[in-house]
Amino acid sequence: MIELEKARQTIERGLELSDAEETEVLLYGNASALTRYSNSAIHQNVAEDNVAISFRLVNGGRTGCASTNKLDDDSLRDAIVRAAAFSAAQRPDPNYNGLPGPAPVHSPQRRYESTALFGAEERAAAVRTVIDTARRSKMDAAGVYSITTSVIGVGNSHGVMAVGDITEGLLTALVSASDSTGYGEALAADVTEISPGAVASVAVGKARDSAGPAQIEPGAYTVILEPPAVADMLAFMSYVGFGAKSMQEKRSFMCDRFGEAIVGDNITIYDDGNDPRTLSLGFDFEGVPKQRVTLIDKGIARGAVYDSYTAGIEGKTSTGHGLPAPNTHGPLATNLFMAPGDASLDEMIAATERGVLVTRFHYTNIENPMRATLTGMTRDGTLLIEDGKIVGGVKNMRFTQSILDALSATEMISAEAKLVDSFMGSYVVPTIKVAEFNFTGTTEH
Amino acid sequence: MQELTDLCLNAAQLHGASYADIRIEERTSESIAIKNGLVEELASGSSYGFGVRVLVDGAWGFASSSMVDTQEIERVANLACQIARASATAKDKDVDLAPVEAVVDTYRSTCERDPFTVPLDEKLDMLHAANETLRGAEGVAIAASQLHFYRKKQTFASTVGSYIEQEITESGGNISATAIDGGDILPRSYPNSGKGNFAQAGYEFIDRIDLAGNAERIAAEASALRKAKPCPVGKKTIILSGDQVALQVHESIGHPIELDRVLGMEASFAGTSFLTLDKLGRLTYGSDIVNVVADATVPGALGTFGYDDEGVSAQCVDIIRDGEFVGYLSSRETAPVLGQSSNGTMRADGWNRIPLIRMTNINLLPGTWSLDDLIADTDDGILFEVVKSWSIDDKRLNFQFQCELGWEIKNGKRGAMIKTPNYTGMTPEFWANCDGICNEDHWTVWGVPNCGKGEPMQVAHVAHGTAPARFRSVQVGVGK
Repeated sequence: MIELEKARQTIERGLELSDAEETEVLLYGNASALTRYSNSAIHQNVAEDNVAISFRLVNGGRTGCASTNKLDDDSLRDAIVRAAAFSAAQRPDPNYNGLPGPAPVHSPQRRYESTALFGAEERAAAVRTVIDTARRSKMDAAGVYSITTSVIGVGNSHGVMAVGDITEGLLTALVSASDSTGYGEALAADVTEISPGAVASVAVGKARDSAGPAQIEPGAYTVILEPPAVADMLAFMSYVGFGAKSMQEKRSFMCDRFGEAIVGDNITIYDDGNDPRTLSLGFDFEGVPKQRVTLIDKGIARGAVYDSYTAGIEGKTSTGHGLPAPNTHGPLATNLFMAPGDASLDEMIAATERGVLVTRFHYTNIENPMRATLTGMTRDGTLLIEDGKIVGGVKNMRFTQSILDALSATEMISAEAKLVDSFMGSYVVPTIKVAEFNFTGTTEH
Repeated sequence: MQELTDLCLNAAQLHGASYADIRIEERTSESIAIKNGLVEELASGSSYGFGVRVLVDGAWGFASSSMVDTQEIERVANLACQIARASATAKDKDVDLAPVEAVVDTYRSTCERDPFTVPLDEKLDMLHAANETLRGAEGVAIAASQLHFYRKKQTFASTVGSYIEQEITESGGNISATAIDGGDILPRSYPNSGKGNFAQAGYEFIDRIDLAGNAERIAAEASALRKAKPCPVGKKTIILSGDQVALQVHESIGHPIELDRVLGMEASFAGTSFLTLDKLGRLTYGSDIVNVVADATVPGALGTFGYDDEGVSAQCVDIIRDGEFVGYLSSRETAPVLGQSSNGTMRADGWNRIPLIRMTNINLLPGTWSLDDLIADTDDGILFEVVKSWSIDDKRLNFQFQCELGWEIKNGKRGAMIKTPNYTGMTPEFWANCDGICNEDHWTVWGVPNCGKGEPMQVAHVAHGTAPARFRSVQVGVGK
């Protein structure tokens, strides 16, 4: 794994070798390992060591990008030549406003040796704990224990130089009984915070509670959505609507609605890569310090996240949400928080006359970005609540639902929030109770 | 190169491997994307490294590195063996690999005009021309045109004695015009949505799909979508265009027939499959006109290769024959469960990933109808074109797909345009209601460059040969 100082030197060398008007060098080093288990046995076990470097060269508002994972001078020169040729071939971009300038970066301590040194034997031991816990309940276990150590560095010809490293451990457990499944997960920068027994127990409890699932009719139900389900919804909101580019292109549900209530007044959503509860270096892939951005404040649309390009279009400064160049998506909120409420899960269940508790969603996708309407399935612990009590499992359901409407109908929010691994980043989100949520189909399990 | 692979295999065996293989790969890419007349992406990528897969004490280990030298190869081979020993502490039984013959061979995909040497100006001029035409239609807010090129050079060697070199070049792209009208975002894409259509071919494939020549029609359709009807609600006869049949095959046939999914190996992430082992040879998957093969030998298709990443040769196998389910996609590890040998579907997304069972070219064989006759034979239905959104449950049963546009069919004639129609169903019931498949004149191989699976996530390039097809009694207009 590349050392921080070596990463810094490599970035500086890349900058030296380029004679473009503006040059950005992004280095991404990655040492990762992942143990995968199913049917209560390890069946895949992999490790990777890689360092990639990419160049963004700009001449007269014309940008070219090239990358390589070879760090010798010849390979760096080759990438620079490729990027320069791309830059030379195109027309100037009138919206281009320059690479960002230097700014102080607060990079929190996010590397833990306990995680970086967590080897195959330790991962196997943790997996055996999950398997043993499931077996004691006559269930099978599946999931992953993944470990990642990343070194990320960004330098540019205006003096930006930000280098940091971060570790991440993720344990997931899917426990299968004869006609039900249950899911648990734990994500942390420091693996000592991950308890395999606790993760397994949550999954076993879900599988047990959802045994003998009943089929219920599609329709509008009160739902309690646990953190993985809430994170899934927020990930798609972020993907289609929280970035400045989606607003500039008029395809966000927040377009022209700043200052207007778009969800219930009990909903506040913000992005904060500096909060120690999430997993983030203190800067983005352009080396810009991350700012806290309030996106929705007490139900009112308030803000968007920016990178240097989209900020330049509006005469603003980047909020530190740039992705690696070339970036066709635009800026992305990757460290979302939903403000907690004051309820407990038990109180939410007790306050539900008839409803469905959802552990997590599966294969969610977008039906209508302007209403944040999604469709997807429930899985791994879908429970029926009647008269304030969980009465058993239900077969999985398909939802087709506007998330704006769901967050407008959110009645209760848990005091406890949880760090969840999302495909768009790491989020800290509570459990929520939604008065009306549209299930539009069912399946056989 | 063989010195390096020999060194690796010897090192692995010295460290206790009963089986080992190594893949040394270099992947290069070029991407060009233009939006509203401005270059949004112009990038070249290169990644080089190797991965070592070993069996020690009957369990798997895999390690990889981007530093390809003798010292690193020995270290990584040893690391893979250490990882395998850790796996063995939580194994159910020893991995039993189906036999495979030792092969020394080379394979190279067809490439008439190397896309990496086509002048950049030529590519940009074509994309700009298409983009300008797309912007000419009223109401088009976003005009996008893009090209992507990929090349993989791979050396595979195993302790079986195989040594295989392969080089595969892929080209693809698309155009899209998006109208934004009130609460609707209305994209129209050609020849497919996402990154477009792809083939194992050179720049001649880009010439063939003629992006600029289709821009005016696509822009006009996007513009017209603003005034199109909403999707009706209810049970309808539907006809899916060939590209949408490809999506339907991909999600509701291609994934559930992956034997690793069936055996639970993807359970916690992508899910399992309704096609449990007891269903092989006993399940009616569709109507008797539904015939599906997994054919890794189709010339120029995105899921074609000489050998898979276990050194098993490319094959064409039956999956559904006259509506009956008759075959899975398998690997050397999973095939013995069926008492079979591997049908050669293991592929990895790069030197740093372990091979998984992946779709090859999962093809719905052509039927007998012309599209005009199929429409003329439909009293009341909807023609769906080009996928916009897709979702399916973790056993691949309940699906819901949304398309960019549809066309009413009334009394055998194509009528009004419908915007963003969707439909839903259950896999076997849906295929059982297939009563018309168009003939080989309409049959096209659709390249899919974004098939996700596995942890860490891997993206495979696969394909589906399909023609338009008709399905009866399908629920449409969900959530409308």
